[in-house]
Amino acid sequence: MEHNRVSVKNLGELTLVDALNVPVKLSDLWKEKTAVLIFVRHFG
Amino acid sequence: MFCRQQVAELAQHAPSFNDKNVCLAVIGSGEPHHFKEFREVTGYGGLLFSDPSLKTFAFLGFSSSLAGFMSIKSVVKAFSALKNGHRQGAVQGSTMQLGGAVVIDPSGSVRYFFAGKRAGDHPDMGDLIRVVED
Repeated sequence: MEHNRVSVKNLGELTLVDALNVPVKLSDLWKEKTAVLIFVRHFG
Repeated sequence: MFCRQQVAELAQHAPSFNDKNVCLAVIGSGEPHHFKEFREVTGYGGLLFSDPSLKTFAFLGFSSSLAGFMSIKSVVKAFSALKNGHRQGAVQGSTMQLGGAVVIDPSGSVRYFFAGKRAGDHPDMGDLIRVVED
């Protein structure tokens, strides 16, 4: 998927979990600042 | 080992991102109770999240195929990572899943997109820093 095809609106609706397993809406990360999101394969 | 190497490198560059007042976050796919060990090993102290469902990875088109997982190039990179002291730890998350990076500003514009094609493919830190400097 090229970046101009990313639907930011739909992406922002997805959720992650934090260290306490609390859901975090992805769009919250770029709500106030530019977000640099690094997706790693795993934590190993 | 690739992930540890990548995040250890990111940890070294974290001040550059903080100076630009951006929200830097690392997202994996393992269970959150592994965050502490991951932080200790990599030295990364910033925002850390997980997506065990892999929905965000799939949405962004990050590969989860065997072909992308291993290749001759990735084997060469594995030796390089080992040489630099980044051993493979116990894997927490999907081994077949590849990573990537995306930079999104508050207007909802995607300013950078990178999808790894093979294990060991990482976004270039210099490119990421330049994007947030613009």
